[in-house]
Amino acid sequence: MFDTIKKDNREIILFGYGKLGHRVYEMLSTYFTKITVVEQTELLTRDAKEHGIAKSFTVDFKHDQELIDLGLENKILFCAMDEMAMNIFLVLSLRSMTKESTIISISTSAENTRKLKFIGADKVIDIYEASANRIVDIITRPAVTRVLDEIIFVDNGISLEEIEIPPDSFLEGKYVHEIDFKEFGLILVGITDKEMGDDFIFVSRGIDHKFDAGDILVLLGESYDLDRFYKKLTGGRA
Amino acid sequence: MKELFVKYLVAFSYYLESAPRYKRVKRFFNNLLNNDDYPYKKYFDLFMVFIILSSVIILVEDVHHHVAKFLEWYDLYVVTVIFIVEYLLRLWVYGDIHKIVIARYEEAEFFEKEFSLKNLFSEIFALKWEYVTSIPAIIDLIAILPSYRELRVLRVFVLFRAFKMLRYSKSLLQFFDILKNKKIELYALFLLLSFFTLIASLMIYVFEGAGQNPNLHNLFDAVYWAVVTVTTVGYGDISPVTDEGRIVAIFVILTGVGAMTFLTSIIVSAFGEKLPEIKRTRVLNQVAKTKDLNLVCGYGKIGQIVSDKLRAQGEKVLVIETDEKKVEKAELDGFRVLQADATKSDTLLKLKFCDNVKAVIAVTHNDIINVFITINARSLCKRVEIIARCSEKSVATKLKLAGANHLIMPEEIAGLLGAVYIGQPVAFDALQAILTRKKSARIDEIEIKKGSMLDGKRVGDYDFTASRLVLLAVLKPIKAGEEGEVTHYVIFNPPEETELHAHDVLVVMGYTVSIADFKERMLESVRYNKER
Repeated sequence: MFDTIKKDNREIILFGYGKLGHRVYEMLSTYFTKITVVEQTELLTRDAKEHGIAKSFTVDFKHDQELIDLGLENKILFCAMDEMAMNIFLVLSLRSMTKESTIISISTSAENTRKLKFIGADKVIDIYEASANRIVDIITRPAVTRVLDEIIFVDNGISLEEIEIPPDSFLEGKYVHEIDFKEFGLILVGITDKEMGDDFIFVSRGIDHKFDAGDILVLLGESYDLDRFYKKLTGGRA
Repeated sequence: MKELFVKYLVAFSYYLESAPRYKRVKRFFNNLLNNDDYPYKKYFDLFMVFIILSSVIILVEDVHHHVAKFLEWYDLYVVTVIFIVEYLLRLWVYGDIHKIVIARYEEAEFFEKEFSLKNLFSEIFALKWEYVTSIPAIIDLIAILPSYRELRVLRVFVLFRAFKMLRYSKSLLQFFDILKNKKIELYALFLLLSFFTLIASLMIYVFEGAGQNPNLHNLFDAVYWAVVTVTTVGYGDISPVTDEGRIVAIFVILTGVGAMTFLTSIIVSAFGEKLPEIKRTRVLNQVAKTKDLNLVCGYGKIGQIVSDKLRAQGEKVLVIETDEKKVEKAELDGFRVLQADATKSDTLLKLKFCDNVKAVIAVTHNDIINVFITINARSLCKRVEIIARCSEKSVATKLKLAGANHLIMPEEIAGLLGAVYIGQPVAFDALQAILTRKKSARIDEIEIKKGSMLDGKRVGDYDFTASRLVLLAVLKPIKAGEEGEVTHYVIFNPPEETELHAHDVLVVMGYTVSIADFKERMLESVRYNKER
């Protein structure tokens, strides 16, 4: 999914190293290097240390100062406590302390999702809903699932990437129909057109957008082709 | 003479044993008469119910008015002949005579004993006698009798025609089955009541039989009174006139009320106990005729969402759950539920697992149970799709070994989605929208139909952009495995010159309308090409 195009250097603070947090850490660590693990109980922190996570701390979530001391600003705060009530409490505390950070939380039901969004989580991942969706897709749309799997789960170099159009690139001022992405071996899935707001628009909608610097393209293709395209776009500056 | 007979008998038996046609015919009639799962039995049953009802109506009508000649003729010949034929058929399909002949003959040959015709016939007779003396067969036989209506008393046997209906109605039979379980209670109650009725009738006879009561003439009257009173019916045609008689009546009435309540409670509790089983048989009966079933094992959080979404997609769902509360919840949600243990092969076999089930979704909250369900399902059927949930990584490898086609690891999916979101929020939104189909853009698959506009063409020949679709991939089928399972290999972003054939699957992205439109066009082109 992620490659040489833009290495993510942002720091992640993962709250929770229980049953859930443990697995989330495993997934995150394949893509990100700067992960801090925070737990409430000494036992789990020790567990994290034993797994070789140097940056793991025990913090009492009820003491705001201890949380602030972690340095929350401009980080990604990932709440993955096993207990849902704790996640909600965490999101609420964290949001009250920082405006800039991205807060992601795990949810286990539609009701919790609603609550979490209400108190200010930027992204809520309902693990059961996501799992159920996957099961339903396997049964009702096997070919689609296969293709999505190849994109997301299988490490075969095919990925979905978002690329922000830099200023003064060859795309500037061109329209969607003028660019043949097939030539680059890529599929344009959609764009976020600054002129039309922040919403993501699927290209299949048929609106002929004009590319401007700052628009975000979502492209599907092989890493090599994506890389090549990105270099061409930035004129070799990146 | 005897030797010749034996020779032909044995030869004929061997001939029957090796005649596929004979076996086919016999199997057909056996299915028609006795096999509830046989699809045509339903029609046969309906036909018989109609015959019985029409015959009973004619006979009842005949009590007072003479019915039309043709109806009498119909009842006398058509119905009776059908009943006789049915009776003989049932007698025929009950056991195989030729198998007994062969078995005895081979036994005699092996031990070099004499082939005893006497033993043979007594064995055959015993087999058929077993059928003839069974209660349904006796009812069948008596039901044939009302045709000899010259004897007025035989008209009573009209009743037996009505009894014959029992054969064709499962729910009626079930009622008797339910009561069977309470045999001891019912028997005790019956004994108690008989005893009490006897005492009561003797007492009333002693107190009032000697002329005090003008309506009480003999012991039969006394017994009649006792029965009418103890059953709480109380016609009042005979009522006690002496104080002693009234005291007896008070006791009889009180006992009667108690006994009737007891009887009711026995029947109610019998039904209560049997209700889950009745439900289970109902579900099994429905399911036995359903193809392409998705078994959702475990109605926890994931099970609920999956069932719901599958139903919304028009898929057939059967929930299997052991926990009573969850069973209730699933029933309330309107799903077909089987309260059973999916780790037991018995449960799956009852469903005609391999014929009817398309996918097994093992989503209980317990990894070990999911492993057991997977092993159970895979051991019974090679072909079925198994999707299993697990949390522990160590279990994942075991699930794969056990034969699961797909693993669902909620925690991993959560981590992955989180990672994707952090890395690429826009792409994530796109993917999420596609996955959850919350927005109207989605990814769908379209199989190329034989003889359609794309069959035999190249990717470049069709303008997907004009149809407002993005062609993401083409899946080409490859046959693999002994059972001819089809797997696909994926061509991403297929180049213009990629050839397309029937049964290739296109994966396209687009809005619901464009996808629907494209599918419609595909079908139309097939029709158009056929007409040409």
